[in-house]
Amino acid sequence: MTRAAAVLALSLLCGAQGLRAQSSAGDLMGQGVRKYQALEYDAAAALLSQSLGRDSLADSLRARALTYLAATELFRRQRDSAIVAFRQLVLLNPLYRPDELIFPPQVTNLFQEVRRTTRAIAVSVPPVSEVRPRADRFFTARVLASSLADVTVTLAQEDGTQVRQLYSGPVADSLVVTWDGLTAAGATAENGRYVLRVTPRNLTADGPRARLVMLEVKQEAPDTLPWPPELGTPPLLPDRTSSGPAFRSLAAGLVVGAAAVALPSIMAQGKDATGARFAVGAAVGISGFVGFFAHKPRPIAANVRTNTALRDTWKKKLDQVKGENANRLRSIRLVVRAGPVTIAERASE
Amino acid sequence: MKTIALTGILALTAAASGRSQERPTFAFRGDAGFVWVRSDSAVVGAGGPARMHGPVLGGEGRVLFNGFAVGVGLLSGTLQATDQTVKRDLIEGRLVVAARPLPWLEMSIGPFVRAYITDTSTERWVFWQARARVDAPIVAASLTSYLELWRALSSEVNLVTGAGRMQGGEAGLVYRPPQRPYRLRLAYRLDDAAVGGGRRGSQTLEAISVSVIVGGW
Repeated sequence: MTRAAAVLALSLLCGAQGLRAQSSAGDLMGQGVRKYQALEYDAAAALLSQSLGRDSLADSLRARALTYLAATELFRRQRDSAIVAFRQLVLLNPLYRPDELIFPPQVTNLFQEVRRTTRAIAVSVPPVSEVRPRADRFFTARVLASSLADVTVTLAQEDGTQVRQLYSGPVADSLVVTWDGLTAAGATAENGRYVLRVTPRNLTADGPRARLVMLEVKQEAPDTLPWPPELGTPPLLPDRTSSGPAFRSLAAGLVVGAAAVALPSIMAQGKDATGARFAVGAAVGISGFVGFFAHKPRPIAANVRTNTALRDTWKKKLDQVKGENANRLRSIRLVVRAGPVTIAERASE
Repeated sequence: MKTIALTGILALTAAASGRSQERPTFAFRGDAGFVWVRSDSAVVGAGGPARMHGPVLGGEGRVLFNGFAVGVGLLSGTLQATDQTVKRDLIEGRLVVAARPLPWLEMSIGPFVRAYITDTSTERWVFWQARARVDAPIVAASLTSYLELWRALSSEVNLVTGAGRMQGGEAGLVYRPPQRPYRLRLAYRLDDAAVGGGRRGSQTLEAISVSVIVGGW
């Protein structure tokens, strides 16, 4: 009980600390914004810098903090610092634009100037997508560029084997790239981990770096119909007469014939007997062979016709099920779960 | 033994009559055959030859009801020694009560009398038989083989030595021609009788016969 209470208390403490760290970064940014609005630029710059120093600041707040910091630095006549802040902002989100109703033209003009000179790309993917190969449901990735850029978008397996090139060409502002769930060979992608890579075609030392998104692909096969049960007897009828009666007849003839021959040995202790028993024994034995051939299995025409019809019906049903299953399998579903966007190392580019 | 046999007959007939709700049917069989008798005892057939043979004629009638049958049979012929010096008449008669506990199995019981008659003497055997017959169809409803074994429950003979163990068997074939009301039978029969407990020899009768059967047997 004591241990459980201690663990609970520790968990609550850790949770509260995390919450406090996040809220304090946001608070710092809020205070910085208020100082900016109050024209206390030094205090604003300090608070905003502090808030940006916290890792817990979300990207949307970080973009806002960078905008206010750049404006603050511009009004503090620290143009270089403002440019650095705007460059960070462009790299963070190439599509972000300062609100022209909030910031004066000198701020937005500087931002546009930085944006034109800072080449940045980004990629945005939905966390979970459902793809239907050969149907009209695609995986979509949005490629963003701060300025005109040539990019290549590829999908590769985790080990680097390329699966498909999705796009190669210019991106002026943003571009939606789609993937239909197929490989370059036209096959449906197998289950596994894939890497969506957005790479600038002209890599430079100060240029943008490739963006990677880890994709977890899982096939979800549709339900298929069971095959019709194999035909047995019944409903199939015997195609031929049974061989049982033939062998029973033969056995009866041979056993009784042999018994006739052996009667003196069995009943009269092997005393010398006449040959009459051989005549009867032979007659009965031959009758057994006659019975065997009379009962020899032969086709039953009516049953053969009935069975042929049954088999044809069963085969048609089987073909229908196969066709339906093939249709269903063609509409296989892929569930694509996207991980966070990461930036490639220079060496790996 | 005789008591047991009588009890068996009474039980079978009582059961048959107790269940007799169907109208009885009749069946007849006429036999023509050839008999061989061999005696290796000095007593049996004393004064006569050791080997005899001759043709025989016979028949049996049965009343059938509810799977039971009561029948009376008779067979007669003249036997002659191999050297044709001695003749004997052979007469056999029997009463049988039969039942079919299974379609392929017939059990029967009844007294059997066999007599060898000369001008001066008659050698008479009387014994009670218990018989079991198995039918084995070869071609359904038209060709059937059968095997019948029997053993005497008791036996008597008017010889000084007395009778001993008696047993025998019969194997044959019954053919029903298509669209005909009768059946044809080919049979081989062997009866063996020990004399004086087997210490004094034995008498063996073999017969081959062709029969015509009318009615459900």
